[in-house]
Amino acid sequence: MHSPVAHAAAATHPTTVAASEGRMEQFVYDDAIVRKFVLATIVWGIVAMLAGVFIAVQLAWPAANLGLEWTSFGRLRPLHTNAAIFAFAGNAIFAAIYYSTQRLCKARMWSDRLSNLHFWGWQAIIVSAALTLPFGITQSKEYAELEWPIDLAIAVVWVGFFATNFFMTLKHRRERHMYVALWFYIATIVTVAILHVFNNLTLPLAVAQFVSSGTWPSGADLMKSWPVYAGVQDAFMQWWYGHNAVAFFLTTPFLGLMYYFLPKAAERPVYSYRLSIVHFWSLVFIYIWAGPHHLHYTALPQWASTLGMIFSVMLWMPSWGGGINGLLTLRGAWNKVTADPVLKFFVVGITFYMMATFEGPMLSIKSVNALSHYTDWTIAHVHSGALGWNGFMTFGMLYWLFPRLFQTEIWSRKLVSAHFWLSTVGILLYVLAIYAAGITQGLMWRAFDEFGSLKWPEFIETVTVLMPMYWIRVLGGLLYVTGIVMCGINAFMTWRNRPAKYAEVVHSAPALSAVYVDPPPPPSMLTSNTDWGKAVETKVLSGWFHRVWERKPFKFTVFTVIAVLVASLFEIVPTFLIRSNVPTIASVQPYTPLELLGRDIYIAEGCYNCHSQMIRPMWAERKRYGEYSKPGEFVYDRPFQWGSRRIGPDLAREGGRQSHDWHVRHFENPQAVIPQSIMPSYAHLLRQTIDFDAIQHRVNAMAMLGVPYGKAVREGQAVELAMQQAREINEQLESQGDYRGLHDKKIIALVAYMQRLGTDLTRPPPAPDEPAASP
Amino acid sequence: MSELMSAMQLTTFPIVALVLFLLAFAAVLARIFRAGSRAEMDRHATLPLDEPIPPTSTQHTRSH
Repeated sequence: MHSPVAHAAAATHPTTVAASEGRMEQFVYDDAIVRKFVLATIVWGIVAMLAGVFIAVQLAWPAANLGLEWTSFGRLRPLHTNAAIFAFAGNAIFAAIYYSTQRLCKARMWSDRLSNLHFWGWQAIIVSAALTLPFGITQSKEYAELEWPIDLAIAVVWVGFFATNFFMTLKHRRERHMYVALWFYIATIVTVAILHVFNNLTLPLAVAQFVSSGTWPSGADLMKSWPVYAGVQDAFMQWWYGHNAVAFFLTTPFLGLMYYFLPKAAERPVYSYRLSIVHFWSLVFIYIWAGPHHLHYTALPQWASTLGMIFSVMLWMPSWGGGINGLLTLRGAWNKVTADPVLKFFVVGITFYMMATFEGPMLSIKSVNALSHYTDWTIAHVHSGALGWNGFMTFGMLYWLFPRLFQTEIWSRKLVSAHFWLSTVGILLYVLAIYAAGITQGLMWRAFDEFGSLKWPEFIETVTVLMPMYWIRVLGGLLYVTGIVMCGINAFMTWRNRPAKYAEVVHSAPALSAVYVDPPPPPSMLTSNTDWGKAVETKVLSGWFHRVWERKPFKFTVFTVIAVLVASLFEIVPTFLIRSNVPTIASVQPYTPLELLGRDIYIAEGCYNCHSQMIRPMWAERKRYGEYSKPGEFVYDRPFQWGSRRIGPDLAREGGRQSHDWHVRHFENPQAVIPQSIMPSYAHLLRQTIDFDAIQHRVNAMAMLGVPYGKAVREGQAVELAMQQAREINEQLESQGDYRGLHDKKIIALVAYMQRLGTDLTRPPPAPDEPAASP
Repeated sequence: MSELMSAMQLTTFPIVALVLFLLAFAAVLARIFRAGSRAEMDRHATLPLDEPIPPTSTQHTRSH
């Protein structure tokens, strides 16, 4: 494992050993934990991609959901995204971090127990996701769907086990300088913790109910919660989180991976260490501002949207600088790429990084975003990043690790090559088809005929045209899954050929001395100035301060946190505090108790995965859906339901457009109403009964969050209001068609919510003495 | 705080953000391009290739 280049480098630069001054110590790396994360990466990779293919098939052939409520697109799409991000990519970055951190620190992980608690805790979280999301237990915030008990577990595992172990390993390292890969890991760990905590501040129903009545909810309600933020603020927090989950879970740790494993595989140092420093700080400082580009033309304040766009465009340079730095690391070694499948994976992975980070800023430009947003273009973009960048960097790392972890030759290099080509073709099929689908959708939605009318006024016309592209996506996904299965077979067969006992190499390195005197800062070039001026020049302007941070994990982490939090100060806080950002509308009232329950059903079914509730102020959208959405319309929306794509039409002004009977027929069998519809059936909602007793606690919880429910919080009042509204809707329903006796079924609550959507703008404001939240 | 922030011009926030970014960027550039840093940078770049001192012994302690 010791490359000639490495020894040559060590000989040329007697670096760390000479500078360390401590006594010589012996240590053994913990590769068992890396093997565990590698195994989990492969297993969850197969699961995540299979789930993706399964729901991709459903979009082309809706009957593929087997007619079960637990396997509908809305419920399984979050399972797919969570599995891909947190299970597949998550375990991959943990494998990378545990392997490389030990080597870069010349130290075993600080605590084997914490390493194992991290591993098993993370797997338990993934299993919890698989056991809750299909049952509609969700917060409905993209990539943050998991409910509060699991969120708490994530915080404990991430901070208590992983971060503690990582930072204590840094503290006990035997290499003075922290290599740049470790910086990326630090940024990942602290930023993900911040994002996770602030985006998941919720009020659990269990807490609200216990406080108000001393009782606990039962069943799934035990896990139910609502965010402390509402409407515009909730959307802002979510996409601050959502975008930076991409940045700090799917980008920075993989860049750390790149900066460690690419030089190892290429057997040469990174092209420019200077560039890697610029890369790091530029990403850390810029990325965190870019979230609002997910909310262009929505009810978000325009200044925030523009700020997000500008910083997104600025990301072009550091991203490409980093990508070029990676590719140029192979200078003089491109001959190896033709023969080494590990390098092939890395080269294509970095190329996808550059393509995705070119495309991302481009999509953030408002005029481009006006076309791309809510379309499949976004889906193609994220799959270019996830399958190409994250996937290929992971596979490159795995194939480099297999012989080292299992201490034997890899079982089949031909299978590695087959995996590479199969996956490459799979990604290309996927993204090219879905790019075409996205642009087609966007153009059809905004097309007018010569009379100034929408050219395709029926939304379904813009769906059916995509079917060929959806089938090509399925094919591409299948090829990609096949590739991962090949990887799994290769891993298994290599593992089978392992030695009877793994050799554990005992390494030696001197401990870092407790006292370390930094080289003095460069002399000041100022001849006539104050001491203060000279200090600024020598310690700050010369960059001397940074060199000191690079060997001080605590200081480095603190300044990284500050860089991340600055965005919150200047971007998020004003949106919360400046009243003019969210002008209130007098006619907008809280949801009635029945509508509130209906909203929770809408959330549980994952409707937001296919339907937006946000009409942008564009002529085509106003023509198709009605008056554009106003910030003040969402002040009672916890969580916001603006969505991020339109597989189906926008629902922001759905209320009153169709009869109750139409809605019930449509939910029961969408194809009976719109034959080409790809929406799954929700017939189970016509069978399942409403738990009216639970409604009072929901209303009380909302009141605790500041929703003015007035008399509805009195014991039994909300239940009475809900039953009354349910009876009224049922009577109207029975007068409109053949449905009978649905007054206590969940479908009535969902219809109540649907009929409320977007109607507040045209209502008269309530009289001062009118009880709030009455139907 | 709400009163104070409401009284501020909204365009202030993006401008402050950009100034902060430029300052941070300048500080990083100062770090990497200061005189005499090349040798140090080259040394740091080799760290992934700089394995610990070759093994003094090999244990065979872990079965699987």
